[in-house]
Amino acid sequence: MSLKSLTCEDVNPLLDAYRDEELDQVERQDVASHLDSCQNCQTKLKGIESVVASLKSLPQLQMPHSLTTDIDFLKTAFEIAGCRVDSEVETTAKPQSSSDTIKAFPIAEESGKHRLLHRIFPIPGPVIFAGAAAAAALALVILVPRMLNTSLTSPTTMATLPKQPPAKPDLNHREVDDATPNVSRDNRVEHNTTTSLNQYAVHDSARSNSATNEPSNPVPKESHMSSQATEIASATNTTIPPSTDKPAIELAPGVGQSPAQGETFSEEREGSATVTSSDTADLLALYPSDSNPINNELAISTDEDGLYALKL
Amino acid sequence: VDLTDEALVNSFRATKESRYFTCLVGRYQNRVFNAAFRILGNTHECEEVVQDTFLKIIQNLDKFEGKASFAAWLFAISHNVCVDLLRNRKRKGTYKMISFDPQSNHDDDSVEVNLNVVSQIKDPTPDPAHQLDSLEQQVTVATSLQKIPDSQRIVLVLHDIEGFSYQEIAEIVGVSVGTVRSRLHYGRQKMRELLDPYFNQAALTPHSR
Repeated sequence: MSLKSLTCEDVNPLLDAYRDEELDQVERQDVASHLDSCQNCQTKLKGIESVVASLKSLPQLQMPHSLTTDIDFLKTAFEIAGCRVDSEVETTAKPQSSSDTIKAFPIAEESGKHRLLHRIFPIPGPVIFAGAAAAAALALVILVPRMLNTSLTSPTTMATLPKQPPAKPDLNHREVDDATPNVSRDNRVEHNTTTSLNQYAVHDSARSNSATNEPSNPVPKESHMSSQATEIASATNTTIPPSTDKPAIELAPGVGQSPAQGETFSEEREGSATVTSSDTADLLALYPSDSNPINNELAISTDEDGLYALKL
Repeated sequence: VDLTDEALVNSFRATKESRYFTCLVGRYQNRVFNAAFRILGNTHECEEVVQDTFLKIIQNLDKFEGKASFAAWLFAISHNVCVDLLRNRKRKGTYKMISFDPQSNHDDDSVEVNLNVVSQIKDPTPDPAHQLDSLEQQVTVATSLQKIPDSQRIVLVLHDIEGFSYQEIAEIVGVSVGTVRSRLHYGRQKMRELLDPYFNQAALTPHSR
């Protein structure tokens, strides 16, 4: 046992280990003897103590959700280990849905699940690309002929307004259109489209009722696009009562559909509608023509940009 | 299950019953999460760290020889996961090097603005720390901890928060005991420098706390 007289420079690097009791016996005695006579080093030791105390005062954080009840994690872990899952785990563990986890760490939740899935299915990159290429090729084989058929048949007559004359013409529309002759067609159609979309729910329910009341002449179930086209036709002729015995939309005669088939829309013609009626004066007033307006056919088509009308 | 960690490991190896592993997860998941949070400074990646750690544990359980304690072995794996994340963070350039110049106040009319020079520095305290460390002192300490170098912070977390010995830390981190001692010394020294203004202020105004 040798008690060396250490300087402050010697003791300073040893103070942390002295505080942590990580010095051997000799070093410990040397530092202790120096501390007895050095106020400066005692102050430094107190500083170390305060730092350690402040670190120990930090709260112990808890996992947002326990892994012991995370069945995704447990299944992955036990698949790796190749061990059997106890019935206790099966009954107590549950999938960590978004509803039963703490929402404090949404990013961690998402990224953690992503990595977990990657660990569950360690599919190499080339396999993923090969699968995606095969899927794309299959989609092309299926969709391209379908798209070609659709393009060949469009624009196609879809529906006509009933031939029943309007009992109460919509004078407002006529006045507006007469007063603003320079407004483009598209703007006018948009105006009517807004009206029709606002009335969409009401008319749709009315048509459903009509179909229910007339099982022999049902209104076909259509896609959203064709329903919108239907509603435009309805909106332009506001005199059509929703509860009329005659369906609001019929296929135009002479377009390759027999009367019996005319009650249903072809999928290929979905998305475009032609209104042919000699009684749709207010509708035709929207689209003034220099030729005989009565016999004009107007196609109302839809696309991703909205609704527009085409003169055939 | 009132078994030691090593007994749980041996039982799991022998029987492959999931409850032994689940018990180990239950014992250590919060400690690993807490240490990862103190090392990484945010909660975003901590759950990943815990999951990755235990998946690696169960994957390499046969390699556990029992020379070190199970806790040290577990934290060694957790430490490697954290270090990988820290390296990826630096590699991705999460932190951009900028210059701090208080005199670089430029008015809005200035044509040329040097985006690498800032005149004000936002408080980098992470929001989760604000939420979790409700007390001001805890926020100050947690913020200061993130300002010291990674290697020193890891040693401080492992010793002063998790309570590992120098020898265990040396095995966890993969350095000598002397290096652990040195890192701990310098880490605490920097923490002291960072916390001194707070401690002095607290000493001057004891009733304000």
